[in-house]
Amino acid sequence: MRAVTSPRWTLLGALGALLCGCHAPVWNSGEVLRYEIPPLTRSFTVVLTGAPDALYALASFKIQGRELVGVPKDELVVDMRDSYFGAGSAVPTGGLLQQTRLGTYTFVYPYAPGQPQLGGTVELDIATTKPNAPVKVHVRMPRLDGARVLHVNLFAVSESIQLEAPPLFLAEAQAILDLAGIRIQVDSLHTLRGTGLSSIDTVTEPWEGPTGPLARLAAIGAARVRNGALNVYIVDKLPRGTDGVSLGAPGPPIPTSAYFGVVLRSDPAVLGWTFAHEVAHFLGLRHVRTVTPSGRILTDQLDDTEPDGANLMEHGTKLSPGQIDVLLRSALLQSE
Amino acid sequence: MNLKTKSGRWSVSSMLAVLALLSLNAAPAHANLFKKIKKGASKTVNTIAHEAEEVTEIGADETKALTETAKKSYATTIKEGEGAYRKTVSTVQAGIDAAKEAALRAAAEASLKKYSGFLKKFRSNLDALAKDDSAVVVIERLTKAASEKRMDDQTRADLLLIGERLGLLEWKPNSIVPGSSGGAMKSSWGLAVTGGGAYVAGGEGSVGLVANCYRESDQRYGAGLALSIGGVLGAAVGGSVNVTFYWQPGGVADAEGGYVGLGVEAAYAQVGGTIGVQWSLDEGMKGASAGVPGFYLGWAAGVKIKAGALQGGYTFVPVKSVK
Repeated sequence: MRAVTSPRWTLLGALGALLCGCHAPVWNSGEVLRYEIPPLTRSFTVVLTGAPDALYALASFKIQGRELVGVPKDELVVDMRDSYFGAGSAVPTGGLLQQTRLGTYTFVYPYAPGQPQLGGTVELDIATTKPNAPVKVHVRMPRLDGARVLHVNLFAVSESIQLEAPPLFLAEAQAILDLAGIRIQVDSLHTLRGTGLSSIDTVTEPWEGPTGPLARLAAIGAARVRNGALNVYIVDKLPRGTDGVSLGAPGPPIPTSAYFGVVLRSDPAVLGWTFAHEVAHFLGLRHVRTVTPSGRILTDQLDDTEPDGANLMEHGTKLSPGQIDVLLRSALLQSE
Repeated sequence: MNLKTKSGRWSVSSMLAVLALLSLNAAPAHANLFKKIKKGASKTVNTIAHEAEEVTEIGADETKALTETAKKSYATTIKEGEGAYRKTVSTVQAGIDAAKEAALRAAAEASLKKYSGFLKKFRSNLDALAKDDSAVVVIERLTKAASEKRMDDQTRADLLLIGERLGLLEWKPNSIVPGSSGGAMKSSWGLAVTGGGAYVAGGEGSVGLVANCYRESDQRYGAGLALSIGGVLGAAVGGSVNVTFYWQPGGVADAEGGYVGLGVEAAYAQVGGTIGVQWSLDEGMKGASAGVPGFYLGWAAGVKIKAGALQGGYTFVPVKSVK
């Protein structure tokens, strides 16, 4: 990765961003960021971390000279507010399928087969509701090396349950993710007692904020282990009707992020399926079709999925070739 | 259950026409739940006045008969469940003070606003259903099946038909089921007949059906028969006779348990009337931090749920079927 325009970017900082995101460069309002994409790059992931009460999105995403957002920045900022706090979709208008988030924003390109090929130069500009607050920019560009191993840390967040090794529910999850050729590798098992977060009553819509209970759980996990594996939290209770929540779709592949992880309800009947569904969210898949409470319809913008109830990103188990392509581009996958 | 017609803007001539026709068509108490006699009257009125609006409503006599059937069908459930109902009521009475009730009302208002897009579509689909004679026949069949504690293939087929018409099946293209972008969320829908007498002393209730808005991962569909005891759907004890339809978070498996609810006058003209807002007891007792409630709409726009005090009750799902 090479930053072309920002004088603040040093080689050390760029390497830090590449390796763990700990020393990400700071974006100044008005700056356009440029990145050269190495050959055989799996995907381009950008994570913006700023003020917890500010919304973030990309005002510009230009690849090989082609602009994909196509909305004036000031209009986009207005729509970010409207879509997040009004319509409850968090998806602002424009040609880029992105979700505005409070505090931390994640975007992965490509997010659908058939998009302009990843290569050449990528240019970014940032839209935020708080332009004077500093924003750290983390960029990940993993190699296209056939990586298909997903490392996870499992946390039992409970006063009673204990995880067995290997956890039985993983067999069902593995059977589903086998469709994409992804292998789950459990790196560590943990039990968290006395957190006050084993029973979670409310989940913020449209997305968890940086100070919500799920984000607090992510902070506890990040303090406990930071091996780069995805943190999966299994709690006693989630709000009625909620079997699991991913802290992003896609989620930030940064272990220190407030949104690093997925949270599952410890119902043995559905835990395996919920694991596969939420992890698929975190790796980049969206629901085939979502109707927001305000009535707005969101789709995954994939050509080969249809809402018929059979897909993993509904309540089924199937994955389309397009979905598998998206999953396998995640920066979280490793070659072994 | 008789079909009655109401109009928001009745002219003198239209009222006279209705009265004349009604006097010619007295319906026996055991007649079909949704009869065409009065609907015919309404059509006549429409021809004359061009402004009367048809509204389908359950008749008191038919509801009473239906409730009596339900009492017999669910005798064991009612007997065994009375304790759970009374415990819920005492929990609500002891645990919800004026401040908590005010917080719940505010939470209900906020939820109605947030879900107004969904509720408008729900209302619209329900209105369309009420005007469709063939759909009314299916609703009648479902209501009878509920009172007779019968969950057979016909009932399941009817649920799927009405669920689709209401847009409450997630896998259908016309789905209006609200979801969450980042998680696996399950919800259910159903219908309930309220009124017709108390199920237990001091505890009026409802009998109805509950069905999932989703299919299981193996594509099976879950549904159940539901009986609620207590102040339900915002209707006060002794309140109006009603058929209500609802959507709620959680699947059929989560539908059983204590609840608190109230009727809220919806300030949103497109939704209209009073909407029942109901939480599980566990979530409702948290007051301001209560989660997503269930929403109850009266069958057709003219049938209103009573606004009233916060009440507790208990829902039983004695028959569950995943097939």
